[in-house]
Amino acid sequence: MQRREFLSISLLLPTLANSSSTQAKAYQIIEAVIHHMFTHTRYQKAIFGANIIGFISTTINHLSYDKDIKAFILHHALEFDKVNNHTFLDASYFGKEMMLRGYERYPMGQNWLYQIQLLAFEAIYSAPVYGVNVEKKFWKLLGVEGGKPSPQKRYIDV
Amino acid sequence: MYDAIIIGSGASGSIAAFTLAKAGYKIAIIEKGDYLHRDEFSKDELAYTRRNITTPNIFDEYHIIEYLGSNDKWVSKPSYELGYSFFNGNIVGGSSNFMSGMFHRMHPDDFRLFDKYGDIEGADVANWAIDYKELAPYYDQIEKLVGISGRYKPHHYEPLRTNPSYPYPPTKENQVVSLIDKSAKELGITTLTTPRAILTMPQDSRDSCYYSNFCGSYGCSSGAKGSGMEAFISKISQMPNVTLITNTQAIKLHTSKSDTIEYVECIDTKTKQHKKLYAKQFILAAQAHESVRLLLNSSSKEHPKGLGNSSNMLGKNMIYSAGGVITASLYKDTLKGLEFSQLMQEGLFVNRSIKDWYFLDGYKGGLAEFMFAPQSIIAKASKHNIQNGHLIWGKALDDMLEFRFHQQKSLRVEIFNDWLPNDECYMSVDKRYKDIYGMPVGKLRLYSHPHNQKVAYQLANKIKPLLKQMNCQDIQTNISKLPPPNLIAGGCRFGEDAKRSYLDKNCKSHDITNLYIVDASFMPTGGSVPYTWTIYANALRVATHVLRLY
Repeated sequence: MQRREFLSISLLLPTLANSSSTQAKAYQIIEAVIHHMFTHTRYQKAIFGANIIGFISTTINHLSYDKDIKAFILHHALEFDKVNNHTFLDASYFGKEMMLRGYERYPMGQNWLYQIQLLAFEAIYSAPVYGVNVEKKFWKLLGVEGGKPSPQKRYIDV
Repeated sequence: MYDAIIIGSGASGSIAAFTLAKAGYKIAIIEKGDYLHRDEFSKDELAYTRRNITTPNIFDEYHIIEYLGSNDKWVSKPSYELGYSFFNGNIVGGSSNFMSGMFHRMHPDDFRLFDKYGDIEGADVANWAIDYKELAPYYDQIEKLVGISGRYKPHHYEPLRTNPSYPYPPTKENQVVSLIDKSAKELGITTLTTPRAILTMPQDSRDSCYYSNFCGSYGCSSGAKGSGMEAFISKISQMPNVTLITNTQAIKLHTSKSDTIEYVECIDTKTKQHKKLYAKQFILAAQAHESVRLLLNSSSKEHPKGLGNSSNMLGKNMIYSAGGVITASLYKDTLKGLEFSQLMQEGLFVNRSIKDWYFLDGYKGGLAEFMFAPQSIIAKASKHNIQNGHLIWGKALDDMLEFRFHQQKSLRVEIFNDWLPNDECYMSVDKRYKDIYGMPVGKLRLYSHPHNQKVAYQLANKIKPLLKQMNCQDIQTNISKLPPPNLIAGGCRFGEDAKRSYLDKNCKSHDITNLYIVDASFMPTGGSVPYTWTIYANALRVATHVLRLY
């Protein structure tokens, strides 16, 4: 019943990512986190070449997405960058690993990372029409079949 | 003016509309959502299971939830704070579009639980106003109309059937059922084939099941699933005497004389325009809690406590499905008596249920239903990725996904037992909070009688040895005091005594001459089975009664 407690702090803090430049920065951080999470996996090459951030920004800005979770994700992207003195994007693999594991020590941090991983899964394992799982490449890498019929339209376009 | 307006097009509204339309009534069906046809359904995990595109935005439409907090004090929060939505499938056909189709009749003794067990302290159990024999002919008719598949096996807790055979043979089964059957037999447990509202052969314009592997939570693309939309609405929606009004929410029932509804005030959910619809009869089928909300919000000078609420029983004795879930895993390297490839064959059903403990010594027990864990890929990939306190990523994540999708199969046993009605489990409206249409939202006070959990744990303890016998690992029981938000009943209890019930035996309001309610709100108790077959059957019974009268 306390599912949203982890969101509460993000609603109180003033640094919500609301301008286009801060939002762009937040998405940059999120993309870098996803790239890091999928480094050394079979998905690495495909993920680096996919427009995951396009998918994420489109879906989380749709009214069907929980606005509190969206605010939480974007806010913590900036917060994470801030507490690491804006060095994350240029850090080495090991540097990024240290920063992420450091942030993960806090429950808020772990929840944020979980939400990002979830968005990444949504991007790569959703139907091909959503633009990331092109020609079912991520389903093939996992060795699974999606359901049939596969959607021909994205819900966000209907 | 219509002969009848049916508010809601889910399981109950669809069969009521079908019955009246076929008899030549001029009817209107009001549905708050869209009409998604069969060919518009897809297996879009993102849309249907993660973004819930067929339910309202939780910030626009919500409920106030009251529950007992950690210090046993009542806590009240909006459902958007809790992520606990009580809206289910707001499209033509309602949530029946997304069911898994496990269909069971209630047992004859379910209709007379008070007589059988007497008073239970802290509960308000009442007998039904009808008995099994009165509902059985309608169960029979629904079986054919909806198209239920199954294989009858005599069992001492299986209700008597007019015809032992189901209209259709059972759905194809995953070979895990042989392991369940064998292990159950070794322990002296009887397994039954689960009847399903899923066609295994074509019926009229509906095709048979194509075993998509994505059934529950998804709309059906072949028409095999016996949703209200497929089984009933699609067959009448083009008739000249039928008007299907979608994207329209009923917000208030207005009376002319104090005991007669004159019109229903509605709002177009897209244009926000208000309109009035007039009819001789009004049939409410909006799902139990939303029907109660509409009636409470229809209060007036003549009906200050809610429409037709002289008994003060409106909103009282809300019930849900008690029980819980046991999860377990079968692993490739420890699987016995079955090839792992057989287990991994996709799309086939785990058609097994157990009724051996439907009645326990001195009190009511319940039903156990076997199934695989949902096959949705995103859900499966994102589950249990925290190990030793850390979220996994990189190679560890890759290895975990490989293992989870190719070395393991998760089994799930759902336990259904009675949710005892009680004075602390009810619904009201909270006028301080309004939805996007300006309608006060429903306030659900959720109290689970301790007996509910006691029975659920007893059932779980009887099932776990069977899972161990199957060599299942990681067996975990999850019994909650909070109900699943999709099985909701009560709030407009039916009964002969107008002082202790809201509806009469035929589900007509005691106070209002032209108001019938056909959704699950009439139920004083819910049985220990999913409600859908009973809802269909009772709505058919009530609609048949309306035909006889008018």
